[in-house]
Formats: sequence, structure tokens, C-alpha cells
Amino acid sequence: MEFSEKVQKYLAPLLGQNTARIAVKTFSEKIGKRPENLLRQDMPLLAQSMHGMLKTLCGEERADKALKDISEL
Amino acid sequence: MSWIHLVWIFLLIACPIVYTGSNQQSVVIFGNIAKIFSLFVAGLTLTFTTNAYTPGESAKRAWTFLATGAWIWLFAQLIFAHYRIVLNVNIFPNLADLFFVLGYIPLFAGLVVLIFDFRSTGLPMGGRTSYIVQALILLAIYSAMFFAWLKPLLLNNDEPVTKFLNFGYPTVDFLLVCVTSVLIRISWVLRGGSLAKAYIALGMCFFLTGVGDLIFAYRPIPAIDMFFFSAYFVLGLAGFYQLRMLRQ
Repeated sequence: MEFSEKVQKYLAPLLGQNTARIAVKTFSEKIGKRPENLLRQDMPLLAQSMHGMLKTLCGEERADKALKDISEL
Repeated sequence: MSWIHLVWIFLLIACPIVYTGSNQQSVVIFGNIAKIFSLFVAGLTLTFTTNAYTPGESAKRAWTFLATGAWIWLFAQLIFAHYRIVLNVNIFPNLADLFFVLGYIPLFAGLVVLIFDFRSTGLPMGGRTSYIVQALILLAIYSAMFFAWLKPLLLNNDEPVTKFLNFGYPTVDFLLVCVTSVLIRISWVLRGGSLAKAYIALGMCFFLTGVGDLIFAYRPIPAIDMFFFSAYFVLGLAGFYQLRMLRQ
């Protein structure tokens, strides 16, 4: 499974399948990567770039947990 | 299904029995207690949701506004119940209306903050053109509502304050529906996720309140209370869904 799919799978229950896909695409591009080219070592940076969005939508506690979980995917 | 759903369904099932088989005073007591209880539930769940956020978070501000609105409406409803049950008088408008009107301010602010928060995430919200089309559709609906139902209320022989409230309540409700229509669009983007449920519930709450206020302006029958307590339960569910999402 690609790393982009793993992140999508993690975010889907929270944001919905569609938004999870868009979020991965949007924030991958923000770190200068295409979703299909994401590597294991990109995960901490991707998680960090998503943190603000997750904090706004789900609260700091959940966003912090997501940051940790995505970084460790 | 949560306990809020169960209580709400139980009250809805009880409605036909109460409204057909009870005397006037029992109907008034049932409606007022149902509204007070549902607003209490809404105030509590929204406050718990607010407390689940860390201080300083913008989402906390939005849910605090919504909780404040629910508590102000509860206070208004308690005053209204005092008039109807304790004093046994039916005056419109009365002191309760002042607080019902005040309650709209934090509710409106809460919805606006939720939308701006979502906008700040950088996730897509839809194109500018689609919002212009949406605004035009809503304007057309309001125009139809105005000429069909609201204009006659301004031209009748009621007191100016009564006219203002009969016209104002559905208008402000419609404004809230307009704002929540943006939230419902966001919910569509978020469909399938936990966040969408709370936004849909908020939209439903203001739609039900609007329908209730519009019917009330024409025929203030006790059965309208069904719309109001349903709206308040749905407001409570919005808080419940958000809280569940935060804790899951």
C-alpha cells in the first residue's frame, strides 16, 4: 500500500473518504511532493503540515495524536 | 442511537396522544417542559463540547458561542413557561422574546466562526461561482417567502412589536439557514466523516426553528412545539456528535 493511501485510510473516518483524499493531495503538494511519490521519510513533514488543519477541525488533542500516528505510519 | 435520540423519539410518539387526548393546560405544560428539557440537553452537550477543546482554540470559540445561544434560549424558554404555566397568561410578545432575539446573536456568531475556521484549513470549499448561484437561489426562496407569507404579516393590524417579531423571527431563521447552507456544503465535502454529522445537525436545527416560527406567525397552535423541541434536540445532537468525534 502506498503511503498516501495509508494516510487517507487514517484520516477517512474523521474527514470522510473524499476529504481525506483531497487533504493528502493538498498537503503533499505543500511539502513539494505528489501523493503517489510520498515516502516513509516524508510522513513527519506531511503530518506537521496537516497539523493546523486537524487542530482547527478536530481540536488540539486529536491533532497531536494524528501528528504522532501519521509520522509513525 | 444515543439517549438523546431515544428521548426525542419518545416525545414525538407522545405528541399525538397528548395533543388529541389532553386538556389545553396539559398540552401547554407538555410543550413547555419538552422545550425546556431539550434546550437543557442542548446547552449541556454544547458546553461539554466547548470544554473538550483546549483554551485558545478557534473551534472552542465557535462552540462556546453556540452553547451560549442555547443557554440564552433556555433562559428565554423558562420565562415563557413562567408566563404560560405559572401565571397562566398568553402574551405575545413578552420578556421571553427579548432573550430569544438575544440568543440569535451568539448562534449566528458561532456558525460564522465555524465557517471561517474551515476556510482557514486550506481544504476546498467550492468555487466562487457556485456560491453566487447558491446566494441567488436563497434570495429567490426568501423573495417567494416574503411575498407569500411575510409581507401579509407586515400589512395586518397587529401592534408594531408583534409585526416586527412575526416578521423578524422567520427572517433571522432564514439567515441562519443561509449560513448553515454553507456548513451543509462543507458537510458534503466531508461526507462519510465524523465532522459532517455535527454540521448537518446544526443545519437541521435552524431549518426546523424557521419552519416553527413561520407557522407560529400564522397559527400559534400548541402542536408547533414539536418543531421547536425537535430543533433543540437536534442542536443538542450537534454538540453530542462533535463531542463524540473529539473523544473517540
